[in-house]
Amino acid sequence: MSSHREAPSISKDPVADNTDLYAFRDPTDPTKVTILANYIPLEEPAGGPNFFNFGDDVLYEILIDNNGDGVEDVVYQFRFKTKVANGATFLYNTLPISFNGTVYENLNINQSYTVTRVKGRRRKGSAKVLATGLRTPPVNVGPLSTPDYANLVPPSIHDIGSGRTVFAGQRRDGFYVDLGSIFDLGNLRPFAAFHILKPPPEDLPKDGVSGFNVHTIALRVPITDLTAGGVTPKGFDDPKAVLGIWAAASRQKATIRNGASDSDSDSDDSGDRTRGDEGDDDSDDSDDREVQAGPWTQVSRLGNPLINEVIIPLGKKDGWNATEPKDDKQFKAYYDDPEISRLIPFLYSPSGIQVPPPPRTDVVTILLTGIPAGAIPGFANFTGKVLADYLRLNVAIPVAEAPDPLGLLGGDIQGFPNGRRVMDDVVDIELRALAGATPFTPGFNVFPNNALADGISPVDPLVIPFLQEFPYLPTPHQGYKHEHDHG
Amino acid sequence: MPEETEGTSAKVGRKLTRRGFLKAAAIGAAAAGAVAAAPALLSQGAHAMTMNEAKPLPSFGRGNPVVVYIRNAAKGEIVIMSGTREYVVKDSILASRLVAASMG
Repeated sequence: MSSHREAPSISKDPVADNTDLYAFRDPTDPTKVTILANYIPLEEPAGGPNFFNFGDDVLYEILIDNNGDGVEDVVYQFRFKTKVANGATFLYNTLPISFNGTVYENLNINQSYTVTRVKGRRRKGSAKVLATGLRTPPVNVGPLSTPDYANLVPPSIHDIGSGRTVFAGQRRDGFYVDLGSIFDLGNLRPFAAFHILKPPPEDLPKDGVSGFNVHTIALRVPITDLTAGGVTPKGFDDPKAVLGIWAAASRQKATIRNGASDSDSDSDDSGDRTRGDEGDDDSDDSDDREVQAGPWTQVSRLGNPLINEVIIPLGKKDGWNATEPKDDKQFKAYYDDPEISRLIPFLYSPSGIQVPPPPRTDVVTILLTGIPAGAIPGFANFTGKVLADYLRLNVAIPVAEAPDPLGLLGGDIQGFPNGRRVMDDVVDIELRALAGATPFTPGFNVFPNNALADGISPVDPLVIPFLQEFPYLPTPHQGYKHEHDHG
Repeated sequence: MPEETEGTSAKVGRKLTRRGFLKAAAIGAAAAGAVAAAPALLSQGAHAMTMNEAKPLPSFGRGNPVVVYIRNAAKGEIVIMSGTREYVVKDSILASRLVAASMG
């Protein structure tokens, strides 16, 4: 998956697990950039009664480097707070949920959040709270609990001033990939006939993420909110036009679990409550059971899709998640000689496929420095010599009138690896790039390298009905229908 | 001298003297060597420290639990956390006494 459950430690901590990151010039207002940071992989829509929500004890962040040094210059931080209206019931909602103009009626578990903008380093910069007490929508339970779900969402899309818009809540996962085939020894179904292990006869591709939801933090801000000096870049080759964008999740260093009740504890301080002291059956007393302390410690991050998934080896994955982009030079060897690039000619040897030999300066350029001006007409996303893994978005490249999911490989310079749009087919793009099917290695930009694919396409709107407006990711699946297969 | 790793001023850190801290920490030392001190407990300890040291009550930890973690007993490295702040104190004697306390 893009970054769902991609590393040993974070796979056990889904609430803090970055799954996908998108950043693109907003098609409805090209003076702005929209960034979507998804968390919580593979949410089963029927997963009640404790349906999914953001972690109150997690610091979610969207970070922007606007001068190419691999260090954040602008950060948006999101902190959540959950309130249980009635702790005496197990119900998520007590009747059909509706919005009365102020609150979601009959919703028993309400989550609100605060947005803070930090100028400079995320822990030492100048922080300003942009908005607080922002409501989030309920999850999509089913036709009785959340009828007409799409209309429950707009009250949770917030204009927080200065041209900024935010949303946080459940969405349908916009990522699409044939997981079952890729993780079964790289058995790409369209190429099964060429696989060395002679898999069963060709089968139709299956989207392994189909039917699952995620939780999205969506942010739309003016371009000038992100660029160095708040400038509007003059053109695509203006160095200030390229932004490095990544998302992260952090937890405080220490957690102490206090156990079930005072009488169960054998510690000397068993009679002390650490937060609140309500002792009220109707209240959410979970805060009494756990104590967090210490600095925020990054446990997950995401820039380019699929990096920690398939580029970084098992023994380095947890460390990669804890690392900042400025220190990504230490992982260069895995970009120079990607494991998947070695696997492709081995697994598909009957096809005679060959890939460029290491060191793969093409892969390093695409993923760690960006592509300089002059290589592709009208395009640049070079951020400098610092090797850093993040989405590189050139905010001066115009919005495409007819986006091609293959992005730059399809001749659409607005698409990945220029940031990432929701429809961009990053699986096929990266498969082909790792096989050398790009203009940088023309000798390998041939069949079958330039046709590698998992067979899942977003073009059919029945596959993934992306919205045409903010927050762009589709309405989440509801639990009642239990739909996981759409081909 | 405490090593500050995030958030607060070294001035506050200097007020966490070994003697005062030991008194505060010894009250709440848990069996595992980590201490989660409630605000009431913290104020007890801090108050004792203030009385003994005749110094102002440190803001560190006020209103928040304090978690103490002996990162490396042999080197005397003690990590003290409260809120989102963290100090590292190097004190072999203090570390030894906390380890001894953890053994009951």
